[in-house]
Amino acid sequence: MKDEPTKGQLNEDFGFYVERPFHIISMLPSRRYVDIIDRKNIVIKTPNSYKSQVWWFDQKSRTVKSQMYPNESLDIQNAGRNKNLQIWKSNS
Amino acid sequence: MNIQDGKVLDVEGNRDAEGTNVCVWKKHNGLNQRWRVVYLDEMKAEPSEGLDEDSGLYRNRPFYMQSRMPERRVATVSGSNLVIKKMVKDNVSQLFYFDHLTRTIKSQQFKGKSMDIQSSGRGRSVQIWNTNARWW
Repeated sequence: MKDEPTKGQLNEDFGFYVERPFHIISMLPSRRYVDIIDRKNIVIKTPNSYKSQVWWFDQKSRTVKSQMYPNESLDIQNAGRNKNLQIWKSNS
Repeated sequence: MNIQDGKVLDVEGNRDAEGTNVCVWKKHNGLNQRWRVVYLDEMKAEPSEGLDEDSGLYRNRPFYMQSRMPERRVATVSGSNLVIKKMVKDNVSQLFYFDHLTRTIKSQQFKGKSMDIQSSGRGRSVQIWNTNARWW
């Protein structure tokens, strides 16, 4: 059985480096960053150097986590039945 | 991509505006579904001081904006409006600086706010407003 990637190593299944902080940047012309507003909602905003625009891949939960709220992950509302994204307690 | 249903991150309504919601949607390869993941340790660090050649302004270096009219008044924040007033040394409402991260001119008095054209650029009046976009 293959060893799990550790911090700084690439998780080839997901295409993310483990625990290596990143921004998610829209390719629309203004190149805005994925950000958190109103505590949990996900939007695009102008770069502002706040932690709410920084994300990292957590190998343990296999989720993308927020640097601002390290116990929460990117999540689709209503257990994936809705179209809206949010950050929510890591549960899957 | 969500492995359960194949949907991807999508800027809702293809609207490239400040605060537009991000949702998941069926993949169609539109620009509003394209993203770059940029690791912070790979980002080219922008210098926090010195001349920014694109704007012609020095980064984070406070300045006055002085009218060339005879009284040489300076731009002053008054409420959210910009007016000209007699210069008072070190008065933060009259001091501005170029912020290289947002590429806007910010007020020393309200550091979360930048010079802004009213009505998302459709008006003619200049104000100080929450930083919500770059100038170029």
